[in-house]
Amino acid sequence: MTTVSPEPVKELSVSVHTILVAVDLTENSEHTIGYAVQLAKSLHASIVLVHVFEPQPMYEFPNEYAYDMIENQRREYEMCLVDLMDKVRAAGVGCESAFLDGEPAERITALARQMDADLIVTASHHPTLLARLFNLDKAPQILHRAPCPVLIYHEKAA
Amino acid sequence: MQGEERSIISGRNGVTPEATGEDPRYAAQVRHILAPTDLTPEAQQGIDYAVVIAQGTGATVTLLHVHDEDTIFHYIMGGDNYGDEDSYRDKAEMALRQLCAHYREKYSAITTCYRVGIPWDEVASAATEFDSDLIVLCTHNYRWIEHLFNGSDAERMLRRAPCPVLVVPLQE
Repeated sequence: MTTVSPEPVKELSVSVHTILVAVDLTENSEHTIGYAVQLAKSLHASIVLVHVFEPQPMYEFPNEYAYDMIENQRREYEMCLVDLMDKVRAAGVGCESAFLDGEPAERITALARQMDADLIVTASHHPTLLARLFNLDKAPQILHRAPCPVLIYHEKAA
Repeated sequence: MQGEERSIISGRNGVTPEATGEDPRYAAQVRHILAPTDLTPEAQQGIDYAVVIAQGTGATVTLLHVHDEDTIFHYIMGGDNYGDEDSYRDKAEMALRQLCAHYREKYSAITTCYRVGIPWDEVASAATEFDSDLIVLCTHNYRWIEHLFNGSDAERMLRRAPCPVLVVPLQE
């Protein structure tokens, strides 16, 4: 499998200008964003924060209140995303935000293609145990479809 | 599920830290980057990323080669297989040194490391040992990396990584 003598190394051809950071808007997001900000500063890149909104499953007989609840939740998440964008800008990194609907891995990778992103940063796993059991982890799915390198963040074991 | 999630939203009602440059969450340091390589030219795309990130953060890069050897098989078969292992080791270490020397033209803080064993186990344990802040992988020729793309294996592998992992797809 391995040829043990490498050919001469070409020039380093890495350029990262746009980093797409996929956040799920839980506490973990702040750490993921912190890491991405540090990377962006060292690579002189800018960040696009993206959250893909998945409404909670509908009750069997949705009434008007169910829709209102979803709308409220969506609005809260949107404001939260804008807050995070402001924080990143305050930290000295150019930042935009994108609030999308649909299937997360699909939308994130489509956005990456559209924006010609050079790097996607995402958290490694869903914070709740149940979600992990139901295979809601997005990282492997994003890896599979990504048009660019993907950095899967999780905190170092202490 | 909703009750279990700790949301930033509820935290917003309380005191949020000033978003200045001194916000501790944004001070995440990248001090050590682990770059596993199978010593082929294609794997160097991953090392390029590791070096570029190191240039920006001042981190040390360790080029790691894991000899994918079934050590239990050799133990059972016994005796005189170590000759092959030694010659492979010499060649691999020389290749690692050449690689290191070349990258040192661009960035000085680069070291090498050679391990034998099950690839992902060795990578994870090396990352723990070096206290790495990032592992950089290039998806070439590493059959075991393909597991990163498949559901259940992927989660298990990624969860065992002691630090963030950057996966660089091979550019044709």
